[in-house]
Amino acid sequence: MTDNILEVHHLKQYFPVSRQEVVKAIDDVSFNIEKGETFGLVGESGSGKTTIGRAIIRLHDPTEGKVIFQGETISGKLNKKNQEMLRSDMQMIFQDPMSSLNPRKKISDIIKVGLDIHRRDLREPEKMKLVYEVLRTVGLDESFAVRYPKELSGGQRQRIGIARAVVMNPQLIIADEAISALDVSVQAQVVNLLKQIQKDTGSALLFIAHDLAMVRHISDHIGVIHLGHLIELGTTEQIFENPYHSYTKSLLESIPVANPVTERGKQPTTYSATKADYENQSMVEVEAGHWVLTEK
Amino acid sequence: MKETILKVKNLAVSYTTYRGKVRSVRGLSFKLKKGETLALVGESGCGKSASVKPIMGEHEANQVIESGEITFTYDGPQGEETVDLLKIDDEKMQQEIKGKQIAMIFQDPMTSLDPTMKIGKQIAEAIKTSSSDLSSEELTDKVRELIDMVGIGHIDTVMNQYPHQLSGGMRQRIVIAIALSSDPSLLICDEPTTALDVTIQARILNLIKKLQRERGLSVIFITHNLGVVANVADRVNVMYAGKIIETGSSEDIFFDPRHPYTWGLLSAVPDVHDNEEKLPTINGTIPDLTKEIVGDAFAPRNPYALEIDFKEEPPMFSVNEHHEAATWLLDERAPKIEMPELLQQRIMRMRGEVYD
Repeated sequence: MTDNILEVHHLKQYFPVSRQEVVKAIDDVSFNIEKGETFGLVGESGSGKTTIGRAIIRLHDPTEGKVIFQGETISGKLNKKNQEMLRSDMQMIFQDPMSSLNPRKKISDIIKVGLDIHRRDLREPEKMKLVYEVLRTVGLDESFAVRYPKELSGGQRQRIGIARAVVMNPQLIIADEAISALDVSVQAQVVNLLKQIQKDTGSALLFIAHDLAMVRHISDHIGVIHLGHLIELGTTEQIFENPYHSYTKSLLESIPVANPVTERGKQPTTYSATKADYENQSMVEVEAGHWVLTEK
Repeated sequence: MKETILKVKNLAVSYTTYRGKVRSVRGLSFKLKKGETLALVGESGCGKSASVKPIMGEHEANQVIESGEITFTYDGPQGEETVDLLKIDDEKMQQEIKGKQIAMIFQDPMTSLDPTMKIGKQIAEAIKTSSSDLSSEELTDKVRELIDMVGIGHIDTVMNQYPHQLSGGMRQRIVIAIALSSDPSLLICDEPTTALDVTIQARILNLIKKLQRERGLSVIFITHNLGVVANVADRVNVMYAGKIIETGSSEDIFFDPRHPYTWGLLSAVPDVHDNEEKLPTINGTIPDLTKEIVGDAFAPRNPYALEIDFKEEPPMFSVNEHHEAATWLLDERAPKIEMPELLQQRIMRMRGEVYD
């Protein structure tokens, strides 16, 4: 398997809350992301999907497990070369476009930070050229370079968040709920933009979200997370057309549809499972490339 | 014919800011009948929240009510009363209406609850404000009844817990219990499920609908999620730039939308059956409401805009007796323009699902 840009093996992320207690935010999660594809990670809030993204990009130190990015192990102690590779080839887009942009800096400086640190070989005019280029890529004109975050609308700010990631020419972009703070019409714009960038640059995308319709629209593969466990994994078609796990099914049935007649009569499905239920289970391949967490 | 309990007439609200006057609500009129759920839909900044704040008697320091009337009919201490919520004195508002006849549920349940007070006590406090003459046993019974009503099983445990010990869905249930403790006739829900997961959202929506049926509540539901609107609403008001641009029954809006903005909103939501490479979007951004708007506020973003859209504001054209839209496309002199094909197909498919 050489065409995987990212491999996650048995990733565990525990957080001690007191001397006796440990929160198992992610428990034994494994998946691969192929070069240039979009991998969607869905789950309810608190399920650990954000933690997975943060553990991969090393905002957390994984408790156990292995993360391999472009053939190099990036979990555990990082040497200088791998650190450099990780920090420039993997980029993240955050949920809240306001709090992730420094309010005191001009847009051009915000976009340029990564270049300033990792591209010492470039001179200032060359960097600015890249900044203007990336601004155009995200659909903003050059005049935005001298403006401040507060002067921008939510959608424009999220475009800056994307520009800042894309300017580094990353191989993998992690988008953590990148569109959930935006209005419906703006969400569509940002998703189209992400798709276009992927097409042009060939970078892979880890798309973390709770909006299943959007995840379906953008993803090639989907992983469903519940209570810190990956419970189902497969292609978008497999997950949506042929879901196995009852949690996935209840999730799919709960998506509100813009059809008043079918929607009104809908009864909410109930699904309950505890962490303990999942702990002794393992992933089983039910069809080619489609994995489900079940009893052994 | 059901009676009308709330009538908003030509309401205009603006906010004074350092950039000048922001005209958030620019002439809004609608009616709400008893037992009906009305949804207000639109993007952020369209005036959804700004238009319900005066109904709740919430006045911010920089809020200016430019014009309008809000007549509310309720069963007061002296029998049925009809008041103008904009002219009523503060004391009456506070004692009889706000939080009593009209209750509200907000998006974030954590901020509506006191983090330092146990759930049982919080609900009891709320009950005391509306009926102060209960004995402590009666009060506890009422608290238990309310917790039971919102579908929480382990009543005793929850009563002794603090808000942070509950999940988001449970917290929202408690907020609903508190809102209904005064037996209101009108419930305003401002994005009550936006912070929740889809599975929990479905359950909370079901709970609101159940309680509404049982108590004959009238509900104003503010949301940007069209799926949620389809789930709860009898009638829908689509808002843009402080105005209602289309109003109708849920079926009217979802199966026979007429305003290009409604088309845009409906198309921008990815459908699980579509296989479009690119999602349709609404280009541009919402207009700057500090500036005077000439013509149709949506015209600059409207691919179907006619010349007149930039000059004169369209009136409400009637489609049928309960469906109206403010677009010049409905004028008899306008060229015939159909909604985008993608949306047409989607509606055909949905109708197929319904009538099969």
